[in-house]
Formats: sequence, C-alpha cells, structure tokens
Amino acid sequence: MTSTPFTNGAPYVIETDGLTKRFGERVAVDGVDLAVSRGQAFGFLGPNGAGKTTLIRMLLGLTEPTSGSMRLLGRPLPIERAAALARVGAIVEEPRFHPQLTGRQNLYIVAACRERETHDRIPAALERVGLADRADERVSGYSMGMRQRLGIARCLMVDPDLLILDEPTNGLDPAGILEMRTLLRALVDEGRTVFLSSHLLDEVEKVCDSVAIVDRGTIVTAGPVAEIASGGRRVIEVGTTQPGRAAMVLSEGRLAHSVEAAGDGVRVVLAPDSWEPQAVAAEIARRMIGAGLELHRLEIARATLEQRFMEITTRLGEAA
Amino acid sequence: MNLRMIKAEILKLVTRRGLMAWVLLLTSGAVSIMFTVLAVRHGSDPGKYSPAGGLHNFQNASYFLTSIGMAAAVLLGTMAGAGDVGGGVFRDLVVTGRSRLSLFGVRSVGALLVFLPLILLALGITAVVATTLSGSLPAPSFTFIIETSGWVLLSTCSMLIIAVGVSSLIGSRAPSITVLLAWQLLVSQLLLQVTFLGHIRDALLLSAQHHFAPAGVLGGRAGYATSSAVVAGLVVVAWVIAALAGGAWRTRTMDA
Repeated sequence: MTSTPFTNGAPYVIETDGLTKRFGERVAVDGVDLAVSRGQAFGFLGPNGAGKTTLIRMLLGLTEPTSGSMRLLGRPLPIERAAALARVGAIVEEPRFHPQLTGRQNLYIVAACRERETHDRIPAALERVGLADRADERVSGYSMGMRQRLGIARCLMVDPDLLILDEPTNGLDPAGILEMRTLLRALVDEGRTVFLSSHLLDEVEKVCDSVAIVDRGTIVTAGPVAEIASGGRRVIEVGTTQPGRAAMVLSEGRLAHSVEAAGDGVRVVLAPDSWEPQAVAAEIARRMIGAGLELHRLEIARATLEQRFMEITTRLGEAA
Repeated sequence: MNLRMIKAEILKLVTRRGLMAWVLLLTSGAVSIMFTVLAVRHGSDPGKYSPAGGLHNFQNASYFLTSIGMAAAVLLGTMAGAGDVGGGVFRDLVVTGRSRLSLFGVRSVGALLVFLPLILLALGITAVVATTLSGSLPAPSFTFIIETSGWVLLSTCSMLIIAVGVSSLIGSRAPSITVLLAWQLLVSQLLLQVTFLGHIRDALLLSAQHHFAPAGVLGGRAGYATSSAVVAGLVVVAWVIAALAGGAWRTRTMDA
C-alpha cells in the first residue's frame, strides 16, 4: 500500500473557521478555529462531551454545522466534500458492521461506494491489520479488538491522505493498544496525517506530535505536545528528613515560585521565568548541603500532558 | 449509483438468512402449502373434493399470494430501507463521499432485484400446479395467467418500494412494519367497506390495486375498487412517489 501524493497541495489537511454547532440552546462546538498540518499525528483531546465527536461529524458530513466554514484536504466543504472524502478514512465512535457478513464482505460493501481501485486494496488492508486469516468469518463472531482493526482496514483501503479516528483504542487490550500505536506511527511515517480524537491523555502523548485541547466546545490550547506539556508548572521534588527547615532555606530569594510540604520532603514549584530545572536542582542541592540539611532525593518531575490537561480543564471548571 | 453498489445492496439482503427464509415462506412456501393441502384433500376423497388445480384454485391462490406477498414485500423493503441506519453503518457509507441520494436510490433497486426472483418463483409454482393438477376442471389460460401475474407483481412490488421509502423516512424497521401492515391489511380493508366515503376511497392504494385485478380473482372480497384505470394508475404511482420522496428527503437531511 503506497501513499498517494497530497491531493490538493494545501498546507493544512483540516481547516475550520468559526465552526459552530448548536443543538437547540446547547452549543456543542463554539466558533472553533483549527488548522492541522499534514504528515503528523494530531491529537484532539478533551473530556467526554467536550465537542470532539461533533466536530468530526461535521467534517465528515454526518451533521451540518450551524455556522462557520471548513476545508478538508484543501477542499471547501460541503461543496467539494465527495472529492475530499475520497482520500479520507474515518472511524466515528465505535466501528459498526453488518454482523451477518464476513469481515471481507463488510469491506466490499463500503468499497462499492468508493472508486473501483478500493476493492483491489482490500486484501492488503486486511493483511496490514492482521485480519487476513479471519477475514472470511462473520463479524458477529469478532471481538471488539478485531472490529477496531477491521475499522482501520476500512480506512486503509482508501489509501488515505488523512485518517480521522475517534477513540480508536476503545475496547482494546494492552497488546492491542500497543499494536494500534505502532500502526498509527507507521502510517504517519508514510506521510499520512492521523487526526486522533481521544480522552486518553497518555495515549495521545505517546502517539501524537501535536495536540489541541478542547473543552466546552472551544479549543483551549493547541501546539506541539512537548510545548503544551511544558506549559504547565515545573516541579522539583526534594527528599529530606527536615522538611520545615528545607522549606525555609529554599524559599529565600527568587529560586522558587512556592515551596510546599509533600510526603517525605518538599515540593519546589518553579516560577515561570526561573532558570532551567537542572540549574535550579543544582542550586537546591548547594543550598541544602550548605545549610547542613540531609538530602536523600532530588527529582525533576517530568512535565506531562496529563498534568497540563488537568490544570487547564480544572481552571476552566472553576471559572465556569 | 453503480452496479457495484447494487450488488453490495443485494449481498446485504440475501445474507440475512432469517429474513430470506420468511420471504420465501410467505411467497413460494405459502402457495406450496396451499396446493399441498388441496392435493392431499383431493387424493383422500376425490368424490368430495375437487382437484387442487384449475382456474378457481388459481384465482384463490393468486389472491392469497398477493395478500401474503405484500407482507413479504414489507419485511424485505423495510430491511432495505432502514437496515443501514438501524445497524449504525449508514454513517460509514456517508463518509465515503457518495451522495446520500444515490445511497437511498440503490436500496429500492437492490430490494426489487432480490424480491423479483422470489415472487416470480411463487407465481411459477402457482401457474404450473394450477394447470397440471386441474384434472377435470377448466385450467387457467395462458393469457389469464399473465394478466394475473402482472397484477400480483404490481401489488407486491409497489408495496415493496413503498416499504423502502416509508422505512427510510421513519428510520426504524419495527415501527415501519407495524404501520405498513396495519394500514394495508387492516385499515385500508376497513375503509373500503365504508360506503359513505364514496370516491374518496379511490385515493387508497388498495382500491387502486383492486382495479387491476383480473376478473374473478377478488371474488366477493373486493369491497370497493377504483373504477377508472387512469385514476387507479395515478394513485399507485402517487403512493410510490410520495413514499420515495419522503425517504429520499429524510436520508438526505438526517444526522448520520
């Protein structure tokens, strides 16, 4: 299976401008401006009910937006939706199939609605997701993990430039999640773009290059995963038998934004404009030893997307 | 719509074994059982019971096939119309970029192509048995068989298309079956008996279908039939178009 050239030469595979969807009084998606560059794994992250699936459904023509505009693979929607979707593979919510048909027949049903070459790609797609030897069994006998893989095969037979996957690891066991992660990264390495909607922070962090955090229908922040994660507060854990004295020593000057007691020591929260964590850690060690304090642990807490996500969504929750 | 989509639609229907068994039972099975009973009765006491075939039994069997064949058409048509939506796979067809109207259009074509061989088989059984087992009774003429077959096909196939349209409009199979069977086999039959409605009854699909029934097929069961061939034809076409228009509108505008 080969990657086809990008169909329209546009810099973004997904662009939305002021995209809004209302259900009566409730605003599910509220003026979203989103631009997803090609050739990356992009995470669309948010709590349940944040508007992730609604945005995907609008992009795919499953529901009409209330206002705003969209472009998919550089093509304006809904005018050129058919041309755009010809190079898009998608799973929306859980993948559904005709249970009385085999896996191969289910792919044939969808391939019949697409260009003729799609049918020829069915064997390769089944092979790639590891279902070739079970493809002629009825889907009613498939596990959830097999259905997820068949859903991915349904996307791959399009030879997609863009894959839009809504919670693709739902129902997968740990081995299945690892396989899915490997497959998604391989697809990105082939030059395809993967748009991954999920509420699983750890999964998004492991798979995605960039991320947008969405909450209450709006995009709260977006950018490279490392950048978003490091946007949160930076913390150094200090293990000592004298946390009270340690807090006094480390609170002096502008070394820390705050020093909090924590378990067997103190937690030093760095100021946004402080030195790099490694330099602060060295200064902490120097001060502790200089003050004659016992130091049995010094650890720079790794900034995670999860911490950042919780900070953002908690803050929004308090503001609401 | 293309040939591959039609083949896919047929595949979706024919692999539903339970549905196909019911449709077969309500078409070929029904007339086979009827003629078997008649043949056994005649065989057990030829002096008391007339032969299983003949013109009269052909007329009765054709009426029976039309009534019960419409139920089969409703079962099949509603599956074609609401099966994708009910099974949650409609959205996967929409995201192919294929127009929703072509996704809707292929349902009727696929359902017809599945139903036609089954109803033609039932008609064939009816004609062959009525002719070969006529014994001393007058056998139906070839012309009468063709006329009657045309009427059975018109009645059942129009019901099939209406079932596709109505179930696409409602979006769910079970309510569609209930509405269609109740309307056609119960409510319409009762309305035909209400004489003070006069020519308003011409608007009923059933009265239009009755108009095209060959002589003797309905016997005393008609109740009321549209008198004008033009009106009857227009009524059948109007019912079909209205159902298809409703189904197409819903398929095009619904959230998938």
